[in-house]
Order: sequence, then C-alpha cells, then structure tokens
Amino acid sequence: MKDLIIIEGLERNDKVVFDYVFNYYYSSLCAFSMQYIDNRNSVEDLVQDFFVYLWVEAPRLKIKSSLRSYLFTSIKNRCLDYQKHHKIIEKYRIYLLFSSDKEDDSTEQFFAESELRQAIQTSLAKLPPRCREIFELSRLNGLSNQEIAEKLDLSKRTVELQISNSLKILRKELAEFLPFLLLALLIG
Amino acid sequence: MERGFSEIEELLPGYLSNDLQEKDRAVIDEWRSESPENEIIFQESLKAWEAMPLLHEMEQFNSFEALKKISTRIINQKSTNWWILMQRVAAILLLPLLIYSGYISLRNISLKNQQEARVVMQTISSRQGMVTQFELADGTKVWLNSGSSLQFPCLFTGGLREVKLSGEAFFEVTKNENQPFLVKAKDLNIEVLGTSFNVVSYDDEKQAEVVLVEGKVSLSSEIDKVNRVFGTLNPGQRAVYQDANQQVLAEEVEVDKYIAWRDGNLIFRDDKMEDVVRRLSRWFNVEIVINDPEIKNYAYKATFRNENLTQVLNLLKISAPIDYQVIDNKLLPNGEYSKQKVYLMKKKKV
Repeated sequence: MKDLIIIEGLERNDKVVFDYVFNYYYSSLCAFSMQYIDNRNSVEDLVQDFFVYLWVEAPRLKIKSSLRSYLFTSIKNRCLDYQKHHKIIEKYRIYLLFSSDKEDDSTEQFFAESELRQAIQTSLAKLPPRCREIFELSRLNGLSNQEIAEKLDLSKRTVELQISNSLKILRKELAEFLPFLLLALLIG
Repeated sequence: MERGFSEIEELLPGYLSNDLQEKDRAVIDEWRSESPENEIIFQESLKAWEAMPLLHEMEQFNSFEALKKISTRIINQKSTNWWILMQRVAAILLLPLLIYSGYISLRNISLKNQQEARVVMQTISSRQGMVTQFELADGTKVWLNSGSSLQFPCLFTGGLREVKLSGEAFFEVTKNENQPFLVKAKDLNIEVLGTSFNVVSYDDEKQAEVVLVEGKVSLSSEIDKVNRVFGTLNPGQRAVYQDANQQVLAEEVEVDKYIAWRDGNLIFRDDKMEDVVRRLSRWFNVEIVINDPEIKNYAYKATFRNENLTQVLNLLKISAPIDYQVIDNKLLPNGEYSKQKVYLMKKKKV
C-alpha cells in the first residue's frame, strides 16, 4: 500500500488500515525499543500505548514525513521519555539495522519484520546447503564453533571457514536487499 | 592485498562475536581505519551477522495477541469519549431543557418514533489473518474472524437487537428476554435470547452455518418477504443452510474445533482436505490449489497453534501423503502484491 493512502486511512480512523499498520510494524517497533528499554513487557506496553494514542489522535495528526519515519521517531521519543522517567542509564547495545543517532529522517533504515525475513530468506538461499546449516546453527541456535564441530563431526577449523565464507556471501546479498543502512557502531 | 583481505574475512566472525585475541582484534581495527571502503565492508558484515538474531527478536513479539488487546482498548476509548461528550452536552442543555420540557409537556407531541428511526449504524471489520474482539452496546461479546465484518447499531433501540454478519464470528449474547438478539447471515436469520454460538457466512461461499455452544437459537429465513421457520438448534449441534435449495441440515458435532479460532488455534478432526484447504486459505490469506482430485477427500486430523504457513504446510507434508509448492507473491503493475499461491499434490513415491 502507498504511504499516502495509509496515512489518509489512519486519519479517518479506518480500522482495517490501522490493523494493517499495526501488524506490519508492531514486532519491529518492539525490537527497536529493546535497544532503549531492556524489558519485554515495558516495551510491549509502550508500543501498544502509542498505537492507542495513534488511533485516538490520528484525525488531528498531520503526518508530514513518511509513515515509517513517523512511527520509529515517535517510538524513539517515547523510549527516551521512558528512560528519563525511570532513570535508566542507556545501555550500549549494538545499534543495529536501526540508526537511532541519525537525526535526518531519511527513514529507510528501519525494517519491518516481513521485509527483514524476506531479505534473509532470499540471501540464505544463495548459500550452499552445508554452509547454510552451519551458519544457522551458529547465528540462529547460538551454538559455539566447537559445539557445531562436534555435532556435525567436522573439525573446528572447517566450521570457522564455513562461517566466514557464509558471512562473505551474506554480506554481499544483504547489502543489495537492505541497502540504506547506517549503523552506529558501539562495539568493543 | 587479495591474500590480506581473505585473512581479514576469516577473522571477521570472531571479531563480531567478540572472541578474538587482542592481537587479531588489532588487525581488524587497523584494517577498518585504513579506508572508508573497508569500514563499509565491515558495517555490511555486521549487518549480515546480526540480521538473523534481530529477526529472531522480532519474532518473539506477537502482533496477533497485541492487536486483540489493543482493539478492546480502542473500542472502550470510543465509548468513553462518547460518554464524556454526552455529559458535557447534558450539562450545557440542562437549564434550557428544564424550561423547554415544561413548555413541551403542555403540548402533546410524540417525538419518540422519529428518534428511533435515526439509529447510527457502525461496521467493524477484521483484517486477513487476525481476530478482532469487541463488545456491543448491550454487553454482548463478539469475536470477529479473519476477513469478516459485522454491522450493528451504536445503540439497540426497539424490540430487537439486530446485527448483520459477513464472514465468521462468535457471539456471547447478553441475556435480555424483552429484546431478542438477531444475527442476519445472508438469507439466514438466527434469533436468540442469551447464548453463545458461532456463525460462518462468507459472501463468496454458497452456504451459511451456525454452531451452538450453549442455550437455544431459532433459525428462519426471509427471502423476498417470504418467511420460513426452520426450528430450533440444541447445544452441540451445527446447522448448515444451503443457498441452492434454501434448506437447513443439522448434525451433532464436536463444538471445540469450530470455535478454536478465537484463541488463534486451528483444529481439524477427520475433515476433508477440501475443507482443510478452505479454512487454511482464509486463515493465512493465500490461495491454495489442490492439484490432484484424489487428495480432495483425504480425511485429515491435526491441531495448529499459532503456527505460520510454512510450518503448517510442513506438518501437512509429514502427516499426509501430500507435497506442496509455494509460488511467492509477485509485484503487480499497480504497486500491490498478488496473493501467495500454494499447490498441493500427491507425494511422489520414492
């Protein structure tokens, strides 16, 4: 759906449009908020409160930016308020896939769950089967290289090579799919 | 240089998961600071490295459940706003009203009938793939299944509480013997005093059905002003109204499987694959095509709880002699996406 049509639908309190927006962005807004508030329940409450506000106030809101940018910026502000209120010292998590320090809202650095899933699925399909299995065991199931080696009866060295090879392929694939990412790096 | 770079690529996973030794970390740090291009490669690697855990984190949040919660809050919000507004209006009008009512009582005007004619109708729809729950003005609870809509008045006036359903809904009707509750589903009229029951009546299907959980409902139809009464339904019974012959057939059923959708569950108990497919395609908003007539009558038994389409299809594949093929949605020229399509066929003997 086009942005303008969605915003217009929200403004006239169309429940179908509202549900669509909710379903599309809910999980990614929650994951985004986890960067600021490391508590699942608080994060869900915060995002839900925002959507109730969005429903009630939508007829009076004039959303000028893209919808995506509006949603993520609003949620970010609510998170910062929450931190102030609860005196949370910001934890330095990896600010990943969501640029939060960039003030210019060229927006497209935010992803909805379905978009990310599609990008990952398409990219993973490019990996040789063995490569993919090892990479998934590592990044999805959180196994250590040693554990993977034992499980698949390979040497640890082979596992390491397969993982760096997977990363090399995925990097190129994902760069094409999720091109506009700006990352604030806080590693180490 | 090329050899140097492949060394870097080998070290990257360790760097990203923080288990490199100080010496190797320094190698990467130095490489990053060498040129902006290197830094971009590094950031792309980081993105690829964290993409899956991030997706996993997103998947922990259930928008389905959350929307159910929020929808009730939104409906309540609406009625509170309405109530506050009414209080204000009442306060402002009170004084002139007192004077006016004295005046009006002298004249014998019946405004009552006129007021009743002006009932505001409201429609709530449930998007594909979700269940919406809300309460009507009389306290009746309604669960609206995926892709369904219910039309009802903001306030129930007159001798009947009448609502109109397209799609599937579950009702828990508040008892009021003076004002029976009437659901219009296509040509079928379902009249109750206070019970809970499930109704399915999609516009593109040639039948409407009612499953009664408790209490009593009476069924009738009205076509071209001709009334037909079909009789009453008992708890645990399911009645199916066929558009073609305008007849109702009733049978004893296991009620649970017809109302499990309210909690996001899908239950099949020896159902024909044809029916299974019909419900799955509504549930996931996909088009499912049975490619082999032989599997149409295959009886299937399963319970799905919050599984996604791929998981359901895989279970189907494991538990029945069936294989599937998914055709992903395509971008249409108007910028929207076509429905995802799934083909079911017989598993080939290996």
